[in-house]
Amino acid sequence: MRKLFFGVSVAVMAIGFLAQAVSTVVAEDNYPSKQINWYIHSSAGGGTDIFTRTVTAELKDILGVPIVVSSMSGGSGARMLNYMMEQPADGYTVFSMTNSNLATMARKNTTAQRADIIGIARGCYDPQAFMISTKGPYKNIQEILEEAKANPGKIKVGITHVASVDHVAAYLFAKAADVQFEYVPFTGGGEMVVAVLQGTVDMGVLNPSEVMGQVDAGNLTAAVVFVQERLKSFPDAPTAKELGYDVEMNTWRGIGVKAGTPDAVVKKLADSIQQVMQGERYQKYLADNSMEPVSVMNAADWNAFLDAEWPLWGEIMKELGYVK
Amino acid sequence: MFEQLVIGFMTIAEPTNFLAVLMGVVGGMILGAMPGLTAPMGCALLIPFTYGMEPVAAITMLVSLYCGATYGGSIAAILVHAPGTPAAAATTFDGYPLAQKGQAGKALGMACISSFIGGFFSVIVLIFLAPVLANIAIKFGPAEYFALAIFGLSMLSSVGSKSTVKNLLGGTIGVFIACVGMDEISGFSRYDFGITHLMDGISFIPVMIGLFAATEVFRQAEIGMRKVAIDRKISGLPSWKEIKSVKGTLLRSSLIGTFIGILPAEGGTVASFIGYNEAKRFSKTPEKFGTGIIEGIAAPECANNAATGGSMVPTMALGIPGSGTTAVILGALMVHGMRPGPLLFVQHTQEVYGVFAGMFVANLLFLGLGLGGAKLFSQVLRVPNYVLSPIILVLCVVGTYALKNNMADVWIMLICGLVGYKMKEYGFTAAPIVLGLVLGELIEISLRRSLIVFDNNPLIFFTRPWSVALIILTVLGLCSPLIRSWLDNRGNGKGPALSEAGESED
Repeated sequence: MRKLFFGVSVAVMAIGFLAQAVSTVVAEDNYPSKQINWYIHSSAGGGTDIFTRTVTAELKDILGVPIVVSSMSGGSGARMLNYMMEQPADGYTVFSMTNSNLATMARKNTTAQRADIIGIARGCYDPQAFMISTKGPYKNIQEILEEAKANPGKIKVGITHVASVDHVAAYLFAKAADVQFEYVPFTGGGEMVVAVLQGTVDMGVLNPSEVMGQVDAGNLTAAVVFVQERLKSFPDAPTAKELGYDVEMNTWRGIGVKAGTPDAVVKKLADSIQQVMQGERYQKYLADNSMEPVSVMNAADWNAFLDAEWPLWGEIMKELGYVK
Repeated sequence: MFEQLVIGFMTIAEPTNFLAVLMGVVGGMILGAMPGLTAPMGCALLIPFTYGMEPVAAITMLVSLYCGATYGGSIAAILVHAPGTPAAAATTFDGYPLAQKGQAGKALGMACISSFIGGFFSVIVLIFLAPVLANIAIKFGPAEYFALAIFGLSMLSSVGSKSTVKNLLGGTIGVFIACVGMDEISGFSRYDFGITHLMDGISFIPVMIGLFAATEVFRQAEIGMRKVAIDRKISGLPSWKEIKSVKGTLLRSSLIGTFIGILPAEGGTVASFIGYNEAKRFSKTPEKFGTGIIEGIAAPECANNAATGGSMVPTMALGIPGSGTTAVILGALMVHGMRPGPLLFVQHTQEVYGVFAGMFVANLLFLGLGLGGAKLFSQVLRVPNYVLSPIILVLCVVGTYALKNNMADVWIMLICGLVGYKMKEYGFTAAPIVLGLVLGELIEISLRRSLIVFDNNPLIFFTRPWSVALIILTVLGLCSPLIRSWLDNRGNGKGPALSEAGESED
């Protein structure tokens, strides 16, 4: 009797272990089998929110599970990244990220680092440019650089927040051109456009897509763009590279999960998201927001991109004095 | 222009477009009436639903929501002392006392009518003067914003309790709270004690809900313990005569609200405070403000709704948002292929006039719904305190949490509620703190930005026309009690009445 009991218990335990092992495998194979929680670090209605909702609207049909998008703003992504670190790496916690998350990580305002994140896809690559007023004293970047060389600190450059992608782009350019700019931080792009138009600042780091209305009216134009090739909308604006300064620093938005997520889950998520991003609706979203189809990057390319950009942030934050 | 407007109205008369306006207004009124749920949030949630809609229907729905929410904020402010939107904070000053006096109907009616007049005025300005007035926004640089913020702070002398010292102290606390968190110029976080939640600063809405709504809930709980039943009557709507008696205030607030709305950095909240303050300053009986008079409701409500049309001016004509909500609307315009900027009116004439017509209709709709519903809304006051107060507190908690899905905001709200409750016992009011908090960031950042831009030359504030004009207005405003008593003396030939002026300033 006792033997039988022992045998049964062993059998039950064995089945239990087996079942658990199987269920782990099944969980990976069946991903996703429950609701996915998706976090953004900025507030509702912003660019990242709209990007995320455009992706998830179709993704939820492809994956067949509900996706709940919540805003977890705080500390430029610090709160969201800290929360991610506490969640299991199972693919049910996904987040949208931007350059400012790298800044937050580089400034060590969160415990998360590059190695804690697996990139799933890049969805937006919004070119940045030095925008100048067409009625201002400087007609092109050469004139601005001459003035900056003659009077260091005289050229005022508008940026949205310090230690942001705007700031870094302008700083890298100034460093490469060996000039000194005075940076004027603004809390939003709108205020900065006003400052450029009124001449309060000599130029501003802006995404041309945000200000096309003013460009069409002939009030603003780009002096330099920070992408590899000239933009179609500004055929006369040189790239930084053409001027001999190898600066590429633009606004991107992408999707990530916590490191340690099983490969099968990452692949399933990444493939489904690629399917959405190559689709008609997403491509229309890019076109409506003046972004090129090259915005979309698959997981492998994007992780390589992140690996290349990440050390840059650490270096610059140190040079600018934001991290010891 | 009239022809295009007629076509615009015909577009809005189409059933789907009209339905979009109606849904926007009703949705906006509900959102606005709920503390913590705000118009920018509502618009952001609606945007994905507008993808499949025609541009005119999509944009008018969002704009209608904006108009409806700005009015809706006054409902909760008047009935339960909970400003539904930040812009309705000043409406509590007279709206709530009037409702408590048994004239909730009159208070709600006045709020609705003045919101309508302000909104209507601003839409007319938007249609006829947008391209011209948009240039004002270009005239305002950091130095001008600093002068404007100082002008705003000068209101501390008249908004709040009778004691100027206590108001100044409250204002200073408000400005100090605004210093918590990220310093926008240096990029370092201040007074955060290593708490991530404080790195973004203490947001305005949780503080406001705590100081106004939660404080009142705690006070009602105390009263309720002493006396269970309170007799609360509901009066009818304001009479034509009463409305006519505040026409000067309505005109003044319409102008102030539209002007402040046009400035990209400021919106309805500052407009309503300035509207209230100026009404009090021009009034022959300033001492009655705060006791529950219709003029004190008309002034802020008219101003904050006038800011809706005002902030659409730079949004459409420059592509620069005039407020938090219009920033979201700007995004929607781009999504629907209408590139905001100086050429919008030329390239998309038909759509633009459709939106204008939609704004007119939205203002008319909330006028009808608000006046018709005033009696219904007032029924809230028939609910006994011991049922109503807990419900309000729950709504405060939910609304505050919904802002950023953050419990930290809820704690801030509750702490502010308790502080506000204790503060009131010592004669402090919430208004100066809220005013300091609203203006604190603007003062600091515009001062420091001006100094960077103008190479640390403090004289620029006195050499730029708009800035000088605002500084002169500030000085005049601060000296007005003295000037008034001096004029009175001269007129009456009586002895010095400085003691009187001293009293009102004390």
